Amino acid sequence: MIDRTQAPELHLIDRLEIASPEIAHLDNGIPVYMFNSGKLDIAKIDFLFDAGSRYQQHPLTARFANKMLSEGTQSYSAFQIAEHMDYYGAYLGKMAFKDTSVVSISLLNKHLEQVLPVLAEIINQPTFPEKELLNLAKRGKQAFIDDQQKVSELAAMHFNQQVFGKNHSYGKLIEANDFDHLNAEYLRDFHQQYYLPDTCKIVVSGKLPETLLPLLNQHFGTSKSTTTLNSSFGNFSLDSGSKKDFIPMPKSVQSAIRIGGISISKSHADYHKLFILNAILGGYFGSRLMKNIREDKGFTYGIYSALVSFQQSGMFFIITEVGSGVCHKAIDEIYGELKKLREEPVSLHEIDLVRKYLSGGILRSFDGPFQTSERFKNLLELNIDFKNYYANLINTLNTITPEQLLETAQNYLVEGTMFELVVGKKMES
Amino acid sequence: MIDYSQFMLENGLQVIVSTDTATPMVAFNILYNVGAKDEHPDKTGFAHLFEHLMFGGSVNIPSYDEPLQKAGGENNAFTNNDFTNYYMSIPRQNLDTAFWLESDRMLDLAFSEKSLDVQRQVVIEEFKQRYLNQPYGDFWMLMRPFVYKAHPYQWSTIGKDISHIENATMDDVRTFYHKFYHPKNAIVSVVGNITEAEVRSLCNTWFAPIIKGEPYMRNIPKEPMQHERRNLSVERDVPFDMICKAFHMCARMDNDYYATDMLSDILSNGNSSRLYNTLVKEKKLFSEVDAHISGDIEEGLFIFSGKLIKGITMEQAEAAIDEEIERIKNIPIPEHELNKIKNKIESNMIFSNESILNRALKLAISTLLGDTEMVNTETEKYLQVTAADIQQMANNILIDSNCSALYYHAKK
Repeated sequence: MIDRTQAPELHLIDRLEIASPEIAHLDNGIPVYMFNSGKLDIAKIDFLFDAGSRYQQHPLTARFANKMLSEGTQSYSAFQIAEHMDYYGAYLGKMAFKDTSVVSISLLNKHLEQVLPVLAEIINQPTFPEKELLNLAKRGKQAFIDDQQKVSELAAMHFNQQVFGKNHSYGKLIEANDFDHLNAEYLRDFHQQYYLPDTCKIVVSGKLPETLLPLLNQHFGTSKSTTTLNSSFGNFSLDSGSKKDFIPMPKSVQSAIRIGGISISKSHADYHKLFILNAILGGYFGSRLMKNIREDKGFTYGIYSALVSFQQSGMFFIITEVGSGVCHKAIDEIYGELKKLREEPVSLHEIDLVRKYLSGGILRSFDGPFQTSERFKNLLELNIDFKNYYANLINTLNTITPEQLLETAQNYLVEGTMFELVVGKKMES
Repeated sequence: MIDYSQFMLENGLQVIVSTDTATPMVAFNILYNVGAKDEHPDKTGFAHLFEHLMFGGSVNIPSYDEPLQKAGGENNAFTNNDFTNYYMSIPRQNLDTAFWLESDRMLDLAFSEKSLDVQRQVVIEEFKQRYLNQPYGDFWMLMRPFVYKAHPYQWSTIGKDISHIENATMDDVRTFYHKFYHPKNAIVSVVGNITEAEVRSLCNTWFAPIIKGEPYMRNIPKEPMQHERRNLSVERDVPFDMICKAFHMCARMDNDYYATDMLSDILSNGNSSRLYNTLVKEKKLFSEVDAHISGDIEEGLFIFSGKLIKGITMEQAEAAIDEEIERIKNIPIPEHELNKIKNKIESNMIFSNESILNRALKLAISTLLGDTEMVNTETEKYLQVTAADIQQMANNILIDSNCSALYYHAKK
């Protein structure tokens, strides 16, 4: 009979072999990073541009310039583009972030030749038709107004402004009437200024056919930049709001809580230590916040902490939605957990647990070409060297001590620097 | 194409293995053949609450999560109206930890009062977060009892009412566990860097000693045919009006399922689909609109739903949806449009096979449905559907006497 009370012996897991991408350049200099593996004849191509919201002069320009790329080009209408992509079973993705904007396509390799010419028009020759913009803006406004009913969305939107300030490029809040002032001319200008071959980077992953690179060159390798990018563009002077803020939602049965502030980004030498500390605090299901506030007290369905990196800054925050009646108690517990990390060394047992968990997580996050290219892209956006970053992370993970974690908490999880936002029913106090 | 092998242990546990040496990981999926439809009408939300309790420790192992995290694994679970599914991915070297943990919680649970107390609270907060504290969050809570009069699909997995969860007792928990959580009522699928022989050996060690339980005989009421159109109007504190029209459709294993699924694709899959282009872009009546099938194992629903642009009336919105319904019922679907949908299905099938977790889930579900090979034959079934088949489905299903319409008004 087996003894079920004894855990099976744990084994050393595979060492992560960090695959460096193969790098090529198109004729106009655009770098192409290639992760060539996998068994299925499929590929994903990502186009990254320094065309995030920090470069915009008017609210929503970056987002709608990105959204509108596929709403009409020199030769194709919005419908023709959609029809073409659907016909070839290709998934077109578009996202605008704070620093960058991305256009992605996922498709079966056998359709590359049909899909890439249309994709090239989307990226290089969009026309931003007024009629389509009006429709998108109106619908965008309705979705925005819907979101204003959700405590978590409201908290997410307002927290950045509270931390960075209302004129800061990472803090600026969107308002409903911004959707009424969208202007196709702004979008055309923005596209012309920021969707530049000079700042474009291409990341491809999947089982890549030989024909891919020549095809990319044919369709994306001839355009030249007409302007140069001012990469320091944006307003980064801090103008933070009050440390504690409250947005009333009187009918709400739960309150959204955000606590956090400005933090270091992935390019900082201490980042990996803070990354591990964050995991211990609220970065996984077995984290302290989850164990305390969900699994012991039952105050919430979920609570997490996160680190976010921008090119010019970084953020740390804790996020949860709790029953209206226990909001005060939950906030006290959150500060209590932060204090504990600043005052008591993390046990070797807990370090060992989180080390093993994160090692498995890293292995998992590199499983297959698409996962790997996703990790790569995140660092490319921040101009951080991929191999170094992961070699350092793995090294830090293997050597981190309780003392280092204590010091990291004392440096980066300081209560006095934290902002607090509650969205919900007025708390009894 | 997914290569796999399957076998059954003497205690009735079904096992499917698929080897993939390109990954350092293994996906381990265990599906229990119990969903919200198996609940007593006065104790709804139980299958889902129970899913939470499965993480509260088992007879020999006080904590489920910690040993798994130590092994570098990651796990989660979900419950729907048809089944409950637990899944994890774990580095291949530590797969025995997965078998140890999963077999122990199939053997017996710890049944801790503390765990029940806390998870009741957690599920109540989940109820609030997902259903009460979101605009339109009560949509399914309204729809289900409106559309289903006899079948237990009439309640959501979260339950009919918070009180059912509040009142759950330890006795209820034990009874539920013994009825549903045993080898005969479970399917294990393992996909990744592992051989069939290794999985067989792990199964023999960990699962084979578990005693065969009493087979569960599912006996749930059939939904009677709907003969009359139903209307329901509600007013809620939301910014915009919403309309929904639901129609009863066939079960998952019915041959008509594929044509019905494609009918929803023609109407609403992708930015070139009919509803998006006609109702959102041309007529500007909706901010978003959708037609989809519920995908349930038993007779399910074909659902239209849309949020209205401010100023548009419910009558205008419904008339436009009805016009699209009439169009597809009466005018043959062009070949190009049919091919487009088929290409999309092919692409979607291939992309969905990329992740090992997804493959493991598909193998488990198709086994539950009684045809594991479905994972490889379904694409072909879709490709065989003709334009006339799809049109036929529209004419069979999208008729007024089969329609339940919900008018969700924004409070003025």
